[in-house]
Amino acid sequence: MHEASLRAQGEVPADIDAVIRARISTAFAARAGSDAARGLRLAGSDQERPAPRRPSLAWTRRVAIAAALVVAATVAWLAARPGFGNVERVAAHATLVQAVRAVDSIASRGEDRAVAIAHPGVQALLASIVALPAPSFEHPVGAARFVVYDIYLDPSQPVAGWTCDLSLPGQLVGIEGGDGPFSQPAAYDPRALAGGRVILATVAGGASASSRLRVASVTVRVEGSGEPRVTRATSVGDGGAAAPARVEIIERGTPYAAAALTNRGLS
Amino acid sequence: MKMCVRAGAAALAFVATVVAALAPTACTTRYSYKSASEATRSQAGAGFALADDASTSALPSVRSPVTQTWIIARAPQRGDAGLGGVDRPGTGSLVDANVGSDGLPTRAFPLEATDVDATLTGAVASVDVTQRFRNPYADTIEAAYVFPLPHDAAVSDFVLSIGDRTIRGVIRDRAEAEKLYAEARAAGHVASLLTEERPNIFMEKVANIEPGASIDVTVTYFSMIDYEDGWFEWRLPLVVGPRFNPPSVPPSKAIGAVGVGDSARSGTGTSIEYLPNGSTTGNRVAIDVAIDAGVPIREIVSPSHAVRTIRDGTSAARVSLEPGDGVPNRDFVLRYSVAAESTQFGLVSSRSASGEGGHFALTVYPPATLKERRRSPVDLVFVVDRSGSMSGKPLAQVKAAIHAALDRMQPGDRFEIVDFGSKANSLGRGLTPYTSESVRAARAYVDALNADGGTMVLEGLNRALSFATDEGRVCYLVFLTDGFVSNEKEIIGALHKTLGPRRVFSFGIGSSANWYLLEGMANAGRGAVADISGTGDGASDAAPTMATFLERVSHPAMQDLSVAFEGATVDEVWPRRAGDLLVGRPVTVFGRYREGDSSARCVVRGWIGGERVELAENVTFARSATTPALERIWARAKIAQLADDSTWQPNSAVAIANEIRTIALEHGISSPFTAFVAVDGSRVTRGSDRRTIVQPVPMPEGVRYETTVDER
Repeated sequence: MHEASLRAQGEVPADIDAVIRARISTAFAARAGSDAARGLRLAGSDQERPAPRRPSLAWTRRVAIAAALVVAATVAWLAARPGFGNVERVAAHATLVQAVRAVDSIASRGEDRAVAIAHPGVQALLASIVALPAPSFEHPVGAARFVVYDIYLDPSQPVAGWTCDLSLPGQLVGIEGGDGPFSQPAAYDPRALAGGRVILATVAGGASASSRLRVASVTVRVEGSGEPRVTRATSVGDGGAAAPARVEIIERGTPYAAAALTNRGLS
Repeated sequence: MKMCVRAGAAALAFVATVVAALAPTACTTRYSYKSASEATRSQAGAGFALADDASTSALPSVRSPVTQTWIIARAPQRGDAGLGGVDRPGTGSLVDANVGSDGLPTRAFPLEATDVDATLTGAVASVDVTQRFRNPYADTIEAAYVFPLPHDAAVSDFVLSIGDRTIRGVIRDRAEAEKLYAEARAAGHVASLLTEERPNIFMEKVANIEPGASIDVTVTYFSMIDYEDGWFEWRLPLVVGPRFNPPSVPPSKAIGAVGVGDSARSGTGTSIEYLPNGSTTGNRVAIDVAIDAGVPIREIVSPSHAVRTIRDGTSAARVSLEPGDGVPNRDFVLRYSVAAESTQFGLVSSRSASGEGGHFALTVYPPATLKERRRSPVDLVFVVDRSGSMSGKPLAQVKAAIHAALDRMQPGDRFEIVDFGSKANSLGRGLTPYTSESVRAARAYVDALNADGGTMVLEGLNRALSFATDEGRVCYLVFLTDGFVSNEKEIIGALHKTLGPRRVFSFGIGSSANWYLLEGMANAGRGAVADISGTGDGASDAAPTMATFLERVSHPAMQDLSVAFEGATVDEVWPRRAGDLLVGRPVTVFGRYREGDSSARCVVRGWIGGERVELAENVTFARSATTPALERIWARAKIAQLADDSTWQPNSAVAIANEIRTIALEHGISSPFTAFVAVDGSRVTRGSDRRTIVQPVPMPEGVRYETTVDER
């Protein structure tokens, strides 16, 4: 099926416009070609039989296609507005493509499909797909990348406070509170930050944590391809007694544990 | 029929697709796509290194399902997004103008409310200022807001709240923070930036506020509470007055005062948009103050606002602003008198969190004997600001103040009056003896003053300095001004260089005076500040203030103070030169003590009328972190000293700037060379933030829009 070839596969070629144009043309041509092989005719083909009267779509189909085009035109108009953002434009592109597919589906017979392709509205729809502005999918070209790392603590005893020393692959720009008793954002050591280190610390706002939970998240302006590390960690229970815990850093949006460290607590 | 049904079903399916694609769940599409790419990247980077002896544990690789939505992108074009051209406030302007029932324009702007939560413990104030931004527009926006804080505030925390999530910002070098903020904004993340434009003027930006979204920004600062004549006074500025920019101020350092939507045209580094008199935005202020004085509180008053007070025992109370008095158009002032024992020194100390000694604030109270000394004749030069911003009530207050001073002066005293707007004039050509004729002439001269023109403070200063003084008599320059200028450093530097033996007293006129300038002038001139900002007609505010002032200057002060601690190692005491001890007015210095020092004998030496005086008392330093804020207050005091040095040592400006930057970064506080930045990297907002909405502010109470705002 041609749909398979149209799936987003995670990489966006630089010449995406040309690729898409080619894919659309190919998709229609392939569908039309297979129909022709089954004995159906294409408008404007050079077959030997005398050219018949130009076929016309059934009324219901015309109404359906017109409705699709009206909606598609509305979407294209919305997407072209200045305040329309990346996510909306991405959705708009997908919608327009669905419109093409819907038109194709409605005009199921070869004759109808050929007429549909020649329809000025469909042509305009195809043109709008290519012309519609859209930012890139992850980050604008040349723009910075901001990544969130979640810090998890998996204690073997109830933990009332913790501190850890992080090595991050970029600049720390935000510290988010965690879950449960650690919902308040951790404090950082400005003196360490001035020296290029990140030291976080916080105490529980309520009852001690006794099971694995996110204790903080940090937003990092990533530079290069470095990796986050926990270089030191300490956790304590009520009263300041050592409370061994396992520390993990997980990049948000991925299910991978980026780093883990078993903290022995105060000794 | 079958075909009809099929076509209809296809059309319905398509419409459903459209609805689904444009619904908020569109984000899912986006993140599914992102997950796929991230999965690839994470696999490549598996096996993150660990320090210590930790065991490695990587969760199993799971590839996120990829949706069947296919996405077409046009390559980003120049100008689609990016940093250039969209970063300046006022590059866009959305003004939702309506007319209220009272006929006045009512406008919706992003700043919805300001909540102030202050705790006044002993002599230290800890204050949280929370500003709630809400986007009332249909597009994603950036909000920019210029607001005041006390000039001695050590801003030490900056927190974004988005729904239930809270994100703490971090301190960075200013240029670096501005770059990070711009990058986060361009990438579509909610971000915020706090920069210091003056010690008492801050600029806050919040990027990518989605339509209808609410974002709270909380700024936390610490400061000392003023104490004079048995009264504590806590002041919270709520609006920045319109500044005059003399020609000597480069545009990048200027602070423009413009009408709504005119920031882009102001051509100044910082612009403040003012609403015409009688207009306000929806921003209302709520203030809640918890007082724990540590000693019995006698009386609590607010001369500026209507407040509700609830006592909690003898030494604690809770004060809140009456809900109907929340328009942020003047300083909030809270005063409370305490039944304190008569002491020579007040010491607040706290061990440093780093365990390397501690920090202290030492307040030296004037000896009671000062008041008992014989009154000396005084020489007063009144320097009156009659610029456009003083039009109306402020100038009336100035006139009332000078009349009150003339009422209380005595034969043997001398005086002169200088007034300045764009240029300076004076009553005479030198100090005139206090006689009935000279007083009559002075009253007529003062009554004839009209407010107009710019605020050329240096013109007035130079005229005042041109008068000859007599050796053996202290000449006091009495500035009466709102201080609405942007060349504060230039003025303070000029005072350092040219003042000589004269003293400076500066009176803050109006409801929102520039206390950074007024304090700076008084510190450079070894004098003091006073406030004439009451809500009365002018005369009722000025009379008691002038009486106190004359009481102070007519008795000898304890001058050339030096502070020493015997038995302890103390260093880095700021300010480097403590001011004079005047009747009723203590002096506070900040310093560090070494680890292990617990007690010492504090000795303060000075001169009173040519006689050497020594005050001494045993003090005890804290051995625990009882007041951790002291470290940052001390750092702020050191920065203030260095900034003051830079006003008269231009050749050392770069070295001083580097030192200020280092101190601010190490102690995590704001400065002209550092800034707070906070980014929420967890999501990309819908819509692109291409418009900056500058939050306009109301005119300070008593200040006229037409004489201060540059309308083009």
